[in-house]
Amino acid sequence: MSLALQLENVTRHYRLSADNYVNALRGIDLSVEAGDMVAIMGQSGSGKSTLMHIAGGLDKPDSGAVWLEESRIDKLSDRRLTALRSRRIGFVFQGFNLLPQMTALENTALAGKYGGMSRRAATRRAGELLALLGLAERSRHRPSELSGGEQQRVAIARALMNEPCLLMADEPTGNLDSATSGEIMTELVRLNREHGMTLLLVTHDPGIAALCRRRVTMQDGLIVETRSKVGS
Amino acid sequence: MQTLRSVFRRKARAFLTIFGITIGVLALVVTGSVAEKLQLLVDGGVEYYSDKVIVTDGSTFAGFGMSPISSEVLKDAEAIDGVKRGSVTLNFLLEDDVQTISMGTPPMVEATDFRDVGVETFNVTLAEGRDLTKNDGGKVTVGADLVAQLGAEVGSTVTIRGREFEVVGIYERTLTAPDSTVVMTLPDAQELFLDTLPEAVAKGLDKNALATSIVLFAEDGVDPDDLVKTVLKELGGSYNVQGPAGFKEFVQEPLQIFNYLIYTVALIALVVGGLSIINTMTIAVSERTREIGIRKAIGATRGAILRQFVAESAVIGLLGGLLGLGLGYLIVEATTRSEVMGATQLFLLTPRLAFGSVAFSLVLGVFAGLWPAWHAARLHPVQALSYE
Repeated sequence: MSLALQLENVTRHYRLSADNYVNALRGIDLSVEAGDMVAIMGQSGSGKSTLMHIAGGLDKPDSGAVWLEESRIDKLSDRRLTALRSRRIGFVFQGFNLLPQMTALENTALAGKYGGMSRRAATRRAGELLALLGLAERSRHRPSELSGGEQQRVAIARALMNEPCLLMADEPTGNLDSATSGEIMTELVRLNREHGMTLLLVTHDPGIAALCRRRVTMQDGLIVETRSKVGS
Repeated sequence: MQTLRSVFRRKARAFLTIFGITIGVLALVVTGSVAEKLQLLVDGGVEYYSDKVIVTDGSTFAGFGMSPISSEVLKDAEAIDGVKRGSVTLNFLLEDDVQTISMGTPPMVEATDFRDVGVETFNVTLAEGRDLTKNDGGKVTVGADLVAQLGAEVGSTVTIRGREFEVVGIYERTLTAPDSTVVMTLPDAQELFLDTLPEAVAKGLDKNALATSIVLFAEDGVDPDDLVKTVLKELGGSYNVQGPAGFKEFVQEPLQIFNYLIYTVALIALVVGGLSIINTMTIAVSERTREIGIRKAIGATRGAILRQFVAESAVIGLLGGLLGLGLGYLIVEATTRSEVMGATQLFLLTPRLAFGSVAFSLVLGVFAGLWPAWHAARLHPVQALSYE
């Protein structure tokens, strides 16, 4: 199977003050096959969010290499990295991160616009995606008028706008009750199983991690354990 | 639409910032309208004086002759080399006490001996009725600004300095000096003028030789400014002789300084408005750091973020400009309407001023937005996303 994502000996440190550094990633090697569904687990400060930012092209490593399918992305200019991010990677965040002044439809279509679609094409596709996620009736509502689960489904629709090859979700159910969490996870698993979408999920929740084929556990900037689901 | 929504997300702040620009543009439109009107008035004067030399009594200033001069001078003047034709004119105030202080020319009575007909190139078109001729004793033509004040219409009778005259024509509005002028025949004017002079002065004057200036038309190919020197030499030192250069020196140049001054004041008001846009946009960028992070995460380029914030800033400038122009137009219109009743029109809101004011406020908005927008565009997506 081809690789969707590959990280080779990736390091990243943050400077907190003049002589105080945090080594967020201390040499990460990770390969994600196309169509895989991987959970990144670990305590706060273990480096899992930093890993997701670098894998998703939101941040660059200090050293090491990051490959997205056949493209090496850690050396790309900001402009090219942005273009790649908009067309090939979808993000879903814990706090939904929808723009409050826009409707569900506008929030979704915005990603299409940034990905180079015409306004009309973006609006049409956004409508289709929202319908697919059961939000056809709610598309003209603003985030403040939607429940947490609905907002996260809008965020998923937005992440799918440009048909990404990789979907990254940072604690996608972190702000949701257990019933709604279940609904959102059902959607994500469906996307993976039925549409072959490669998923990288950052989560604290072992129950959610258990839905993934592979579980990667991080501690102090290192991967300390990788488990594959039996039978997959 | 999105841009408008973003601008008005903080309504009070948006309105206050827009209002700052509005005040600046209002100042520019109103003062600019005065400048445009004065410019037109002076341009009219420049055109009028461009081909002639004005001879007045030595005690008058810059060719605006009010002290009497004898029309006998005409004969000597016309004999001078380079003079094509001479014409006697008599000008005086329509009323002794000018009621309103006006930025333009005061209402005047003007009369000539009609020797300038066919030589004078500066002619005012009639809106109604006919032009005055030499034999129209007891008749007048009236400038557009004085129609309401005198209650003039063609065929009606108006009272000027206690004497009744029949109106035979009304001039079209020129926005220059002829708008506030009543034209009558020279004998009528001489009689009226004599009545205005103190008895002791009037006694020694020959009514039929009474004039305030002699207008000399230069022959084709003769520079009127060169003619001034010749006329001065030939007529002797007791006359004031002015050509086009003299008018420019005394009127056009001071006007230019005045224009620079009022435009500078208005532009300073606008620049202050521009600073308030920078302030507003800087606060907006800081408040919307997280939004910028989200936009970047879903694929917004630096250029897209830059354009978004510059567009918002430009909208503030444009709305402020349009509002300022609208308010300025209302003020100019209202004042013009009331002003015309009394004396000369004070304002002239020209298309170039209207367009220029709005365009300037738009450009100001764009420039004021550049720095905050550039700052927004350079935010790191991860840091912006984690901003609370």
